[in-house]
Amino acid sequence: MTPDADPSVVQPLDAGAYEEWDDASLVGRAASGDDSAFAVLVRRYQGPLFRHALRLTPDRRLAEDIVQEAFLTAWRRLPTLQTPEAFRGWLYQITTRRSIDAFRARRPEQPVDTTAPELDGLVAAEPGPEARAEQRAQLGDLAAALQELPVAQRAAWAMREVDGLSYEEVAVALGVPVSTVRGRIARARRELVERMGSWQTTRD
Amino acid sequence: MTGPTHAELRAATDDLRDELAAATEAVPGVVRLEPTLRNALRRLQAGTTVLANGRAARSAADGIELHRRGEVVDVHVDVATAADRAAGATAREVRQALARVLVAHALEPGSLTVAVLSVER
Amino acid sequence: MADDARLSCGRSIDDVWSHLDGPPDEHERTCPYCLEARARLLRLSDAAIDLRSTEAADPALQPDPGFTASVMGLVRAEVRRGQAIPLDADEVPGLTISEQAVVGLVWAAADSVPGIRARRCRVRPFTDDDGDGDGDGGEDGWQPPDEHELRSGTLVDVDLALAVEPGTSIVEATATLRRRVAEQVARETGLGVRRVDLTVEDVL
Repeated sequence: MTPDADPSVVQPLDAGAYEEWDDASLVGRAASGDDSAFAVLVRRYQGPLFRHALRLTPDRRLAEDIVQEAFLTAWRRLPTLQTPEAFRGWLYQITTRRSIDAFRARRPEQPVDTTAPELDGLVAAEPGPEARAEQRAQLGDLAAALQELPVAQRAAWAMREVDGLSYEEVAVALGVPVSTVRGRIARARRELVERMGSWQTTRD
Repeated sequence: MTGPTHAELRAATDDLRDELAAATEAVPGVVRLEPTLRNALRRLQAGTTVLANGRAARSAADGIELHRRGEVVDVHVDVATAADRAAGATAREVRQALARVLVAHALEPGSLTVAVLSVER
Repeated sequence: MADDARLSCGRSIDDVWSHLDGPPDEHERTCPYCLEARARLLRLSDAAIDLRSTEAADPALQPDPGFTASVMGLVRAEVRRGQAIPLDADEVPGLTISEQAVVGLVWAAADSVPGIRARRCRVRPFTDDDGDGDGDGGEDGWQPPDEHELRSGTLVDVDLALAVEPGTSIVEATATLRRRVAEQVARETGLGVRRVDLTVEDVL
């Protein structure tokens, strides 16, 4: 991009350069109506958000619908976002909330998970040994163990340890205080470590 | 002889709208008429019109809104303009073109408004 | 596992986790329970990193190929025009340009300045009710609109947030930015830019 080329016609930003932009700049741009900037954000987050929704409601089509709706909601409400840095946590918040709602809609009768009052009724049913073995074969040890965690712990742990969100962002995503997030992730960690007793890893 | 049928009036209005659209697009600096949700909805509501002789009336040009108040006609146009001509100058010339078309039809120009919705380079 | 589960030596998994980054402390060095816990926690960390990259690369864990396009189709249908800015202050009102159109021009000008990432932008018409034709600015070599424009053309105020890339001279870049914004807006719309308020939000 030569800054002093023909000054009579200023060219728009080379599309490739956008892909390198930081989230906050893209968000700032999109908040003022730049849909090309928003498209970069979509491409950047569609995979992680999709996988996050899939972890919480294992239906592919539903997960896609949820994430699509999340992006659309984000686009509509972007002008109201106070700080561009809050975008990622906010995206995960919209996605998590809808995933939980979808899950709740499909499984109305469940025992209460006392560790997560805001996620009443969403304890994953403990799969039997055969199902577990099949899951492990398909997903690998950690992924299978994750699916056995209560949803509240699974969501918190995965957002932090797989998606790399900060504790504050996870707190925003789940609508709970940071202290609750720390407790939940610690519990998830203890559960996963306990289940590792029977894991084979390539290191062994 | 009876007056024009509702359908014929509608068709005449569609003809006028087409002419206004053509005049607008002929102005240097106008890239296109911009269909908007507002003027598209109105088109849908109007529906298709079939004339007495069985012909279907042409559909309204997107991007133009017409209101007739007796012999006075209000026109609103949504356009995209080109970057190589100042939008203000282009819009001014569009308004003049609209007035010329109306006058040529022995109609009185009422409120003529032009909204530039985008500038394209 | 209960919330306050302890290893047989009395320490908790959380204790072991809290100093996983460094070497084992005196107790841990000889404690089989702590050593086992450390080993598992390290494996868990590795497994989490593995999971992230494996899932990101797994074709079965991506949204369908048409997803981005589908989302963007919906996004672009939600067109935001902003307010209608009068193009010609003198004449009978009715010639307007959408704020969104002018914002696009501001961004095009800003994108031509190296080291600048233009973010949120607002454009507002300036109504000079005092009639003194006050053309603010004149800092950093920027030329205010000429007299004719001040009297009969519409003036606008531009509000722009931006991020600056490392190594960029902010003073030089913003001077260039103001000049190009004023020139481009004047040339492509006929509007006079009275002032350009810049907020540097981020130095990247």
